[in-house]
Amino acid sequence: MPRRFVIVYGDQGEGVHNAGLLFQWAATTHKKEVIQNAFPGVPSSGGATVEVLHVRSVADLVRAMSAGNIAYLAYFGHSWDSYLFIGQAATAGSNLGPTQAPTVTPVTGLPVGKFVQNAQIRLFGCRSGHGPRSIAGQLHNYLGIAVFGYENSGGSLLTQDASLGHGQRSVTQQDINQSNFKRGADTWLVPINGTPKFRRF
Amino acid sequence: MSRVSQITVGQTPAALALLMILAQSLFGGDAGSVCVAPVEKPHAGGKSLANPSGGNRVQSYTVQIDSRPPVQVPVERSVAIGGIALEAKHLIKISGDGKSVASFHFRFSDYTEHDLCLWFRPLYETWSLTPAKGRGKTCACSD
Repeated sequence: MPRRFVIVYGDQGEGVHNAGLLFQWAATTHKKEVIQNAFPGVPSSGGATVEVLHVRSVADLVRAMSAGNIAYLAYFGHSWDSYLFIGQAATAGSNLGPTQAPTVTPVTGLPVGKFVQNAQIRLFGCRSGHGPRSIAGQLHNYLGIAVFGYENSGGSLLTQDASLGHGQRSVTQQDINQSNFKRGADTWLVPINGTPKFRRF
Repeated sequence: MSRVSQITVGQTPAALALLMILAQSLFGGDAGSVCVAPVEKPHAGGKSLANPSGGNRVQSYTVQIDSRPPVQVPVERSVAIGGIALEAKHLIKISGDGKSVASFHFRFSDYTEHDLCLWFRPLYETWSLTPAKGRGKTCACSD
């Protein structure tokens, strides 16, 4: 079975947290860059198929992982410290986090043994690698593979500037103010403060 | 600005300029404003997309611009802070339950308009200052 490259994106959110289609666009951009081996630090797909899937719950994420042989898994969506806020619904399993709660499935609910050797997970979400109990750290501890998360302390923004998207410069006020996004243009999710920096767990 | 838009094409440029200056003066064109969006009280339960303010600890916020008196952030409606000089650099200080939670500088020249919106994301407990136009119900100071 060929190695699998899986990119998932979560629900867009509502109200002031509504990201519109930008998570999907960022995931699609990432797919292109994975195929072109153009995103720093991400393993080369080597011609393998790269899948992009919308996930609305931890159960969806488990389904995306179930076929195994995963060399790379990327998540685009809402997150904060210890949690991935995957789904909008106030139902069981909408979120992934440290412990079982009414809407949270713990990371121990994910299947093990679905990743190939030297596989990688990369989390494109707010503070996914920040703090002592980050979701990136939890996933690394449980799954035993390399997991990357943003260690910047702020939230996130979406940009259509490649240099910022690749972490080559710091965020400016203009980036924060940006609200007119070109449909179909390449899009990246980066932290809202400083230079985007992934922490490896 | 509606009065300016009523000027007919045949009027002289000098008269037009005079009327524009008058309109700027009448409608506060030499000063900017910050509309502070309401912040709902924290909810019980765990934080999630469906319950973004779940578990937040701060019960109420105040916003202070430069040396003006702090303004209590309402729960249900926006509040406007007007008459802010366009040219100067300004400092916004935000406190939650009496403790400083955020502060940053801004200039109106960094934005495309002079009416700005200061708004809160309860999921992430972060504040943003962006142009008010296009923020819809989030900033409803002009209603």
